[in-house]
Amino acid sequence: MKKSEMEFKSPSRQSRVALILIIYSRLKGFVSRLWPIILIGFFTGNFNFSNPDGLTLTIMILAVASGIAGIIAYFRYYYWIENDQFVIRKGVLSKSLTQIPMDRIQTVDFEQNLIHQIFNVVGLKIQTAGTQQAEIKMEALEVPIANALREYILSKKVDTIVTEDGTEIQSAVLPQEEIYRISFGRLIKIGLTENHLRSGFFIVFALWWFLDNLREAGLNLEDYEQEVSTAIGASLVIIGILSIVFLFLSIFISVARVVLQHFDLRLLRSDQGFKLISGLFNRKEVAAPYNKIQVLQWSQNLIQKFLGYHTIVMKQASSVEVSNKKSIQVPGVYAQDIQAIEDYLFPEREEKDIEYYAINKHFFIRPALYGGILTILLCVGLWFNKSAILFIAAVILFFLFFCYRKYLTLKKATYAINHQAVFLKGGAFGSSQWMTMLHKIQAVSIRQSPYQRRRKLADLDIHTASGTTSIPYIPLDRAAYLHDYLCYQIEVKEKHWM
Amino acid sequence: MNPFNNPQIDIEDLPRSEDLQYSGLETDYRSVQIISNCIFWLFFGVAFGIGFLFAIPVPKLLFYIIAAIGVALIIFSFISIFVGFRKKQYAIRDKDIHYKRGWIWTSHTVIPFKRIQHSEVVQGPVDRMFDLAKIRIFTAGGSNSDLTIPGLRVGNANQIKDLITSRIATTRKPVLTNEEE
Repeated sequence: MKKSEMEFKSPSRQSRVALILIIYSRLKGFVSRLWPIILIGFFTGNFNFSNPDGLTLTIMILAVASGIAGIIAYFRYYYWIENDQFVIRKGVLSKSLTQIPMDRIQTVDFEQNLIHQIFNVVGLKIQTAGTQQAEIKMEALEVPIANALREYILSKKVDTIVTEDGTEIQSAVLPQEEIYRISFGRLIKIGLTENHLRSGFFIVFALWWFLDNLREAGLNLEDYEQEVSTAIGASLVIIGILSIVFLFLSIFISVARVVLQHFDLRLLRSDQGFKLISGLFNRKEVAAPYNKIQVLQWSQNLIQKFLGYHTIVMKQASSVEVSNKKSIQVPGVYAQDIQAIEDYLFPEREEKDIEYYAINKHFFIRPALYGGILTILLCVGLWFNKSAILFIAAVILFFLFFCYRKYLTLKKATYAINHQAVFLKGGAFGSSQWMTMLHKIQAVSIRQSPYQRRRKLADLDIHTASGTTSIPYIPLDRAAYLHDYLCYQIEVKEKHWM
Repeated sequence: MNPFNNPQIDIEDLPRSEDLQYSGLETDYRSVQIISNCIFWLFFGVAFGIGFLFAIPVPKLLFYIIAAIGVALIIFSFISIFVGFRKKQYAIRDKDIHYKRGWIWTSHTVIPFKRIQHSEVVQGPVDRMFDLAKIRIFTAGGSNSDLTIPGLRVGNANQIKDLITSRIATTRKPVLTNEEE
């Protein structure tokens, strides 16, 4: 410990590898913003590097300038520890000095993408308990330095936790216990049971976008379209083959996505919180202290229901705006795993014998009514427009599907509130659950639309530090009562929300 | 909590937010809104007028339709000011602050003082003409649960702010000091 303290006393720069990463991330940001232009430029042959035109030249100069700015920024970036504060000085034109009291630091997360892995460095993210942009990101530190830094920061933190909570944690390094690990076999199963429709939509969208860009780039697609459509019209076999290819591609994409994100996923826990390590090329370590987790939600789709798999998400209080990056997501967990996680997180929730209430049927009637009117108008319009009967049938079919889905949602949506926690259940074809403790609630509001006002119904919004959830279409008097009850409970609960 | 001092709460006895005495906003705030609305539509109208006159040639019929929609929107925005003004009400209890608003879609939000992160009093240029200010209240719940109560006398707004500050002053250390050199 003493040694590491010495090391961080003087201002030091990040690892040299950070240079590569900064330039890489700047270029990536550049390309991701301008890639339609670049792509079109290549397709139309507008880019001529030996004799560049104005646009190409501007892009090149901007790219080089942003790279140079990144290099200067690297040399102007220093970090050190001073008076129990983590200090960062940075900036080229507008300089800034950021100081974070060590005991305010909530988590220190590591991140390793492919470049990090090759050079054996890690990216570092320091999160604090604040609500403003209280987050520090470092591009690259050598692994031993990063470990020492984290250990040092966390050792400082443990001291303060002893004084604040009265809990007795003797050792600085907390024992960690692995509570869940995904084998490769299960990972594949999870991938196979994902929602392939989403991947399918992604393919369709990507294809459509690509063709659209080609057309804009001046490629004459009409000729091909003719050929393709005659070929397709010629045989059902081709349609069959294409759909099978499409199906396999969808499944492949979802499996690949799951494997990339959750490869060798390990969930660890200590007395302070959870830690998640996962990822194939981009290996991530996310820490979630118990007190920072605000909301627990888990869900399963129709196929996963048969396998008993759930995806559980622990949402952390987020400093800027609610972002998914800060939630811990674990797929493929069984009901008993969820139970265990709930026990660690919210042991006082008293879920047994709790009574669930249904929401009002107007939750279904209103969209069905309005949607129905809209559908009829649309169909009449299409009829007069002499559209194909198949198209009108598709519109009606879509409406019926929408109604069915809404009906299932109505049937599944229930809520329960006891003196400790709020529980919501929902889902259409699959199922989902959401819960938070009453002391984590930030504010409550009641909302009414004119339709709801006529029927004395209301939505109850529950605001937490990781997002707002609403209980829709409940009787107004009940909403008003819950409104008052939750206010009372927030006031009575002594536990801090974080 | 002390386990020996834990009286049972009768659910009927919970303080009810419906029974509160809500106060409306200062009537001057209506003038503020009318002036701001006029300025907004004036800018909008000028921009559109220039656009139609010089830039985009439109058929007469389309122009009349757009103009009619514009007039309808303007009328609606003024009605909205008058009706909506009476619906904006707030109340402060010992431990929380209530704000109601909306005449088509209504909402009623409560923020306990315990959960307020910070608050600020802001005054726009039009507000200043009428000696009005608005108070913004921030929670950790993000923009969804943040509140802005407009149309308060500057003195009142500051009083509320001081009340909030005294209620949340549990000597919290600043989380992050970010100085620009």
